[in-house]
Amino acid sequence: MEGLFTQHVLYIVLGVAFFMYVFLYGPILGTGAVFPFLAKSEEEKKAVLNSVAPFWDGAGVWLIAAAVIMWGAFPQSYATIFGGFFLALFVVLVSIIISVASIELYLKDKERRNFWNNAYFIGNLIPSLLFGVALGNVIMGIPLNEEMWYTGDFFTLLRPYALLVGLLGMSLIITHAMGYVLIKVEGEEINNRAINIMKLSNSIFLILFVVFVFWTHHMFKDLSIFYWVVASLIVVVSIAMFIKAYHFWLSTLNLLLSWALVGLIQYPFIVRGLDGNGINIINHSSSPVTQTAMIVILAVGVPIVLLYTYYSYFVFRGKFSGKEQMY
Amino acid sequence: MELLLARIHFALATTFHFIFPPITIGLSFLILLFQTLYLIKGKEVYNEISKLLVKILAVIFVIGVVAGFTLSFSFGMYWSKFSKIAADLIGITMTAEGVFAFFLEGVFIGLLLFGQNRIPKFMYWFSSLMVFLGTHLSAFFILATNSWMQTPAGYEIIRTATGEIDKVIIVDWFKAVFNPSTIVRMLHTTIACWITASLLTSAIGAYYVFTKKNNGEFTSTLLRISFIVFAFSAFAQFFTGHLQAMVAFRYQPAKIAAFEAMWDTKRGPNIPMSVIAIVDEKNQRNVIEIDIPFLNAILYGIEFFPPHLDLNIEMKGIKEFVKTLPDGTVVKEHPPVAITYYTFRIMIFLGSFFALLGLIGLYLIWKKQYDNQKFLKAVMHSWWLPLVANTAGWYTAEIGRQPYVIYGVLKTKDALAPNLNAFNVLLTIVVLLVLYLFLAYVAYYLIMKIIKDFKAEDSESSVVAQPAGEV
Repeated sequence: MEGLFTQHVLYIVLGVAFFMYVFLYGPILGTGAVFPFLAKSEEEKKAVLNSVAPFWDGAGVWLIAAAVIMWGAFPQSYATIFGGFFLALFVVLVSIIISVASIELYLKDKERRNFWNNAYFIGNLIPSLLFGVALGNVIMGIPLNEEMWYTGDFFTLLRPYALLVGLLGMSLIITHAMGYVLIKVEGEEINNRAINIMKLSNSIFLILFVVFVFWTHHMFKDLSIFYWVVASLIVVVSIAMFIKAYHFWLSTLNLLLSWALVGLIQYPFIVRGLDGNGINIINHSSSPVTQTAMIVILAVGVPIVLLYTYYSYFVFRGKFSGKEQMY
Repeated sequence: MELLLARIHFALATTFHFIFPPITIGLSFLILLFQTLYLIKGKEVYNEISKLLVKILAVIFVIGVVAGFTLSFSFGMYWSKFSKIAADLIGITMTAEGVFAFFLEGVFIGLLLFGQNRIPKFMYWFSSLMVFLGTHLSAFFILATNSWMQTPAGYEIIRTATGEIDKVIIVDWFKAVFNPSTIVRMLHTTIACWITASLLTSAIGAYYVFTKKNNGEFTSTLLRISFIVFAFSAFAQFFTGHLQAMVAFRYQPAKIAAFEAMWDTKRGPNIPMSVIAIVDEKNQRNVIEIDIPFLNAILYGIEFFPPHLDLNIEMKGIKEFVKTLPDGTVVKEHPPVAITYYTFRIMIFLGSFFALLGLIGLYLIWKKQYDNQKFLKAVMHSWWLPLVANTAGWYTAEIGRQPYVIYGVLKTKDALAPNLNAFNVLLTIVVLLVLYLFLAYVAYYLIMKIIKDFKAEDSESSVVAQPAGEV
């Protein structure tokens, strides 16, 4: 194994942070992306927003954490992606701003309820698609110059493979979010709708995933046996989702396996170039002092974070209805 | 063109962001204070006050968070060279901020907003403590980062073969995090946050006096405690402000010269302090000047370790920071003078006004004259002035660091993303401006509504409890 121990630890930590983000924030992205089809009445809309309101911030911080880990540990990748995917990221940013604002303001700002309702829909639909598109791009490779800065433009990002990964990500996030609705939101009708949407999104995911697996294999011929093992596991879990139990935890497992798969394809790169080169974790990382400090901070801090995050989910256990307005 | 636009974008993004976190930080302190009083004394009124403050906090906090998202995107999108070069420090301070602060405030604010009926009284108090800790730690780590950009320490510069700066690596993380200006900046900024929130809550109290809403014990308690916090914070701010100026005097002399619009170097004992002047930046002179003689020699001549006063100090003038290179080009190593000078003056004048207001208020409290109409009117209409003072102070600090983004290490013009497109940047400025104006309007409207609609439960006379859904 080439490279330093810290570089590999932080590579895994980065993947875990992204996983934690979609695991905990996915319910918001996914319920938002299908909001008009999921929640029809005012009461159902309130119920969905009530069920995510106590958690959105603690969950959203995982995205900031992932971005900061990428920035601190692998600065060139952060600089290249953010500087390069300028317009796409700006669209994501504006979406996040209006969707996060809508969670808190929908209940309070009665005069603009319709606006916030749409904000929660559009503001979550766009990122759930574009996060995957961005990921697809760094997997298939983007045009980079010698100093590793992005040389493409906005339309470079819309290549078919990247769009496939975008749809793949979105269907998985929606599936995950419907599992959340089943355990956190009260109401028979909305639960039935969630099951129907989940069946559809999970079927789409399954089909697209098979395409993805062979397309990726076609691009990178030298993928290891682990690639096929993890890919098969994802298919098995996805099929198991059609059986009526533990949907949320099965989709969580699938999210974890998906990030593991991405890690296997990408290693040792974070951002692939087009000519077999790219930004990797060995030549483009920060200094050992910083990386060690980061690992120490994470090792001390994250267990405490997980502890009180668990406490908060414990306090707000059970299903939320549209009637109860907690403050 | 790209540089100018990127700077305008960043000014917009930080200015808007910096309206909200100071209120959040200050409110979290006040909520902890009232929850602690509630826990110890058990009087319902303290809990009622904290309920009101939590409702306001909910709105302010969410706007602060989303505006913060813009910043964490902006470093990479517009200033990716800075992001790459400074990553070693950012990795430490921002990871710590995420892990120790963002999660803390993010998770416990959920408990603070929605948890009162679900968790025991002690855990609710504990949540308010954790939110207080989270917001203040968050302030600490981001200010440590900013302080390092002002007075960098514990680092080494790695250059490329052509002599350009490649990256800055951290060799001593403790020195980097606790660099010379971290602690004083933390004190000064935190107290500014307390001033901001406590004047706001005092103004709410004054509003209730005039509108006869929530009168009686609720209003008087809110007003009295808020105002005492405000007054003492306003007094303390002079001291911490000067400590910060002393650090800048030692490490950023060009900034101090711009604070004073002092063009020529002066030696003690008579170094005057400029009260107000009209700065003529082009001709390197001041048109009209009102000074207090000797004052700067006294202020900057003080030493604490060991305590003594040395008036024979030297204060460098701005002209010393203009260098002419061998090939004849003139390089300005000092910040733009006029804007730094005026924003500094705005901050100082407002700070003095707050201290005066605090003094009068404490006198009235001491004399038990709680209903002085003129004074309450002044308090009610001043709620927004700390926001102006904060912004002015922030401009003073950040513009005063120019032309550098990392002082003495990296110039702002070298920090820009290499593939920035002027049209795209302009587009983002316009979109953000519209979005921010809308969010500011909604926040203002909602907070006014919360304040107007809030009815404190009167512990003695209330029979019908307020419906839980009323916001």
